[in-house]
Parts: sequence; structure tokens; C-alpha cells
Amino acid sequence: MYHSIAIGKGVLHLSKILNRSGSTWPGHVALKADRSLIRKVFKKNPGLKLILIAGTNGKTTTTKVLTHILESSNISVLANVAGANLLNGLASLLVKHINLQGTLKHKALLFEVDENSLPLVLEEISTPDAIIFLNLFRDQLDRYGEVNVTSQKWKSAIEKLSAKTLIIGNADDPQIAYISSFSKNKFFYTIDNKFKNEKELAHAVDSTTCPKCNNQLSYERISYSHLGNFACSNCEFKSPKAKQYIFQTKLMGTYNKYNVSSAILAADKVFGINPYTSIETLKNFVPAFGRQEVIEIDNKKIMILLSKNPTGLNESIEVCLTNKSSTILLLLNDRIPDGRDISWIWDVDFEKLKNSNAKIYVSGDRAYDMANRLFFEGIAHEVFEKYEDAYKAAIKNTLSAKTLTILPTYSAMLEVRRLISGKAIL
Amino acid sequence: MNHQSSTINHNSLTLGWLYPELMSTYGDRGNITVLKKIAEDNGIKFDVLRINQTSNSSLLSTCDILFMGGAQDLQQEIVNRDLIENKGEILREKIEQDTPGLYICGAYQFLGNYYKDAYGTTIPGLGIFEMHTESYKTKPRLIGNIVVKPSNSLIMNHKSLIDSFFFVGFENHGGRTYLADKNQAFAKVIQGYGNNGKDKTEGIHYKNSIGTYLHGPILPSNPELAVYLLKTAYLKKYGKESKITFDNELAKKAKQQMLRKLKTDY
Repeated sequence: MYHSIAIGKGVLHLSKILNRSGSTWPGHVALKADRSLIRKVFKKNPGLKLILIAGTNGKTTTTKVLTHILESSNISVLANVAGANLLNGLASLLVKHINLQGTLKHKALLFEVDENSLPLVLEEISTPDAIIFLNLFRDQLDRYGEVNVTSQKWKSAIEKLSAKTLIIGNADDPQIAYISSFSKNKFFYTIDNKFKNEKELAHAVDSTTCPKCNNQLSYERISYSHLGNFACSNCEFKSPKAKQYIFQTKLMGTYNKYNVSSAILAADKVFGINPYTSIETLKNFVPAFGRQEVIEIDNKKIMILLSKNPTGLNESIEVCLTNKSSTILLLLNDRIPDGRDISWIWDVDFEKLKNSNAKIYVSGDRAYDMANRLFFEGIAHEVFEKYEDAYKAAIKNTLSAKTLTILPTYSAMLEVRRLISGKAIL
Repeated sequence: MNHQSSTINHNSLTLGWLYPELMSTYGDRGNITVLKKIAEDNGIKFDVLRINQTSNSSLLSTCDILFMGGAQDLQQEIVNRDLIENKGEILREKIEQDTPGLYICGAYQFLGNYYKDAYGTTIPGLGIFEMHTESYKTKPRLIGNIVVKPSNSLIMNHKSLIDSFFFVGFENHGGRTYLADKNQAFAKVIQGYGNNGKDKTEGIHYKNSIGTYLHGPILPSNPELAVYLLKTAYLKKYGKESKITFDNELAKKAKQQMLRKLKTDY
């Protein structure tokens, strides 16, 4: 164990010297040296609580919120904020923070896991203390196959878990509720009914049939996409009983109410933190840049909302309407972290933008596909091949004291963040 | 908006969208949006009939164009049952009677003779297209950007497609499709996999129907193909050529942007 940690740390040091940003490289090398490194570290640190955070949308925000709650209760947290969420990422994180004897001074380890690698991670760490299941939407079908395939894999991974692993599941997502039901130890969360409407399902909906018997699900109320109070028209399957909290945060959007609720429930069940204490500390929570943080430049506000799938972008459009955006910048890339397939933009309800007075700007590797999409919806916009030109035009045309809302895919978010924070716009 | 409806005498076309809820995985409704806009911009009233498993099969016979998209396996089972038990025969008649149609991915596969899944089970198809599809446990899904060249038979049918050097799209399928007659291919693969990743054929062009693995979706990325479907439908319904045209710089630029990107990527 000593050797693999030392090697990993050496690589880490080397990658810093070489200024390589590849945050999974040290872990990759350390795992090559000792395949059971991760398991050994957990054995060496029995007091360390591990919480996995899984779901299509909201993993980073949930991790941030839970970190805030735990740190406010003096629980030291280690989290994979870099978005490097495969086994190598976990190994890298551990290698960086453990000493050569393999001990770690943190009490909680929060780990975002992407859809496909959850079963792999569970093979390596058979008993995490908890898994938070947020939601399952259509995202990166090109990489992960299909939503049903993903939920099948999750289901068989959950069936193997012992009662030591607590499942914190979203009661309003039929797929999540279903797979969670196979756990021996589970708790559910929901949100207040006042945030749910009796409206029709949005177009991008993935899960309208019963995961148990395949018949149509009916919804009494819907919060967004396929999340709501559901019941099967044929079998007894319906939204399970769930915890519900009332709180206030700076996070906008219905989807964040679920993220926050999952964090409050996890803090309660895993660390015994009273929900009222959590709710109190949430008042001081400041969102991360690119995850709803608002920055101010020349008396203009900029908000970045990562929008990488139909449901995410539909919700972001709602936020643009709520915050009365003066300008909107849509950035569409199709690099590997974004998903190579951009067909999902046709599942987004762009016609809602007709209710907005915002000027719309478009850029990214697939800017013209996005522009073509808006053209067919009859929505006026301007296209720029370079992010920089699009951003300049957008910020210039943002009215004083008003908001520019940027809706990027993942790699575009990194680019635009660099653009805004790197340049002398202070 | 139908600004030009007075210039052409109230012509109309009806599209039958088969299983819009169940067979709609990869932005499929984009194809409908594009057909509707092009028709309306050319002064043709365009109605969309949503046909699902509870709809009466006779609805199909009133349609001038048909469209069916792809789906996840689970949804596909429900659709297969309805096609075999209820709507399959009318759909066959429509296709054999030259009704133009676009069938993507799962829909395309199901119109063939059979589908052999990864466990070796053979699921019979409607047998309208002379082809079959096989899925293998050991072989990966065929996923990625795809560039194809329209086949000669397609160009013969619709001369203006000569200008269309390429169709672009995205494919994502586990099944490998084999045509009984490779001359029936919809297109030739330039980059990507197409029907099976081996014989360079992509899709099928049978009578006025097109079966294909291209989504993206296909019509917004290649509006000239939407024009082809509309013109064919118009000719069949009214017995005379229409002057349907469509010129959109954005779609062309999107295509160029993708082709440029592919050259650097591959």
C-alpha cells in the first residue's frame, strides 16, 4: 500500500510540475500499482463516511450543499469537485489527501458518480454509507446507451447492497423510486406540493411508463419533467412516502429544491444532523460559479446555468423567464464531456422563449445547429462562431442592472468561465 | 404561420406521426417541426395526426406522409405488439401504395423481416422491407456522427438531391441491418457505420419510403430531404408537381460546421 500511495503522490507532484490538469492521472497510476488501494484506504479509516451522489442532473450542486451543511457542523469533507468522477478520480482524490500510512483526517467523503460508473464503483466499494439518488433523465445517450439500460444496471447493483448502505432516494422520480425499493435500508425525499402543478408532462419526458409493470403512469401533480406524485394505472406502484422540508436558499429552480432536500435528508440519516440545523445553515449557502452563482460586472449580472440535456435546458429557460434575463447566451458543444449527440436540442421546449424579451445569442462548436433549431421555432437570435464575440455582444447588450444568463453545455461552461474570469473584466 | 396560403389554392397534407409518445427518443419531433414549417412556408396547410396504440387503425389511411421514430427497448415492445395485432396491415398497404414515409432506427428495424436480439431470440418484423437486423452480445453499439452520400436510386427519384452531396446525422444502434438487395440502400456511408458497419450501405429506400439510422434529427440537418418527402406526397395526392422550395442558410452552415469538425476529429 505504501508503494502505491508513494507512486501516486509522485505522479501528482510530477503532474503539478508539468502543469498537467489531468486530475485522474495520479489515481490511474496508483491503481495500476495496487488494484485494491481504494478498499485498503477505507479499511484504514473506519471512521470515514462515504456518500455517493448519483443522478443525471444536480450532482455538483447537491455535493456543494451537503458539504456546506456538514462543514457548518464541523465535519471535515473531502469531495471530488473537479468533476473527475470515475474510479481513477476517487483514487486520485485519496492519493492526494492521505498520508503515506494511508490515513485521512477527513470525516466525510462525498463522491459524484456518473451514471455508467456507479455499478463499477460499487464493485470496488461494496458498502458506502449512503447513496443519494437524484434523478434519471436522458443525457448522453450516445455514451450510456439508454435510460432504461442505466436503471437496470443500477437496480442490480442495489440488490447486492447490504443494509449497511442507506439509500436516499427521490420519491418523485418513478425510476429512482423503483430501484430504491430494492434496497434493504431506504429513505425518500420529496418537495412541497405547492411547487407542483397539475400540468401536462413536458415533451422531453423519459419515464412515463411504470418501471414495474410497463403500463402507463398517471400523475396527480408534476414538479418538472417526469417528477411528481405518480401512480400506476395497473399495479400498486406509486410515489413512496417521503420526507419534505421547508427552506430558503439562493438556488433558483424547482430542481434545486430536490437537490437541497436530498442533502438535508442525508445529513440527518448519516450524520445525525437535525434538519432544522441544516435549514438554518442553508441561509448562508453561496452557489458555485457556473452553478447559479451570480457575478456582477459593470452593474450587470451574469448567471451561468449548466444545461446539458433537455430537462436541464427546459428548467434553465424557466429560470431565464423568472429572472427576467435581458440577454441569453446559448452555447452548444459536442465534445466527449458534453455528449457527441446533439439531437436532444430538438426535445427542448424553446417556444417558451417567446414569452421572454431577452435578446438571444448563440455560439459553440455546433452553434449553427442551435441557430437552426431556434430558426425553426421562429425565435430571433444572433450567431457567432467564437465564444468571445458572442459573449462580448451579449454583455454589451445587457441592460444596466439586468441579467445575462448563459446556458452552456459542460465543456462550453468551462470555456466561458475561463473567458469571464480570465479576462480583465473586473 | 401561413402567410402565403392565398397564393396556392388551399392545398393540404396530413402527416401521420406513429407513436409520438413511445417512439421519440432522439429529438424525433424535430422532423415534424421541419416538415410543417416548410409546407406552411410554401402555402400548404399541414396537419399532424398523432397516432398511438389506442388510436383507431383507420386513421392511418387518411395520411399523406408517415413518420415513425426510434425508441428504447421497453417502449418498443408495446409498439411492436400494436403493430403486429392492429396497425401493421394498413401500414403495409400505405407503404406499398407509395405513401412517402420516414422510419428511423427502431421503426426502420421493425419494418424488416426480423430482428434477432443479443440473446438469439428472433422477433418477427412486419416484413415490408427486404432486410433483417441482428444484435450481438459481444459487439458494441454503433454510435457517432455519420456522413452519407444519397444513393443513385434516390437521386433518380428526385433530381434536386443531386446537389446534396452529403446527408449528415448521428447514429446510435446496437443492431446490424443487412439488406437483401444492396441496391436498395438509402445512401452510401462516407464516415460512420450505417446499416452494419461493414458493407457501407445506409438505410433503405423502398418505393417512397426511407428507413434510416440517421437521427440528429435527420430533417433539420438535411432539409432537402424534407422537401423531397413533401414534393412526393404532393404529387401523389394532387397528381401534379408542386413548387415546394426551401432555402435555409443555417442548416447549410450547420452541415459545414459538422463536416469541418469531423475532419479534425477523425
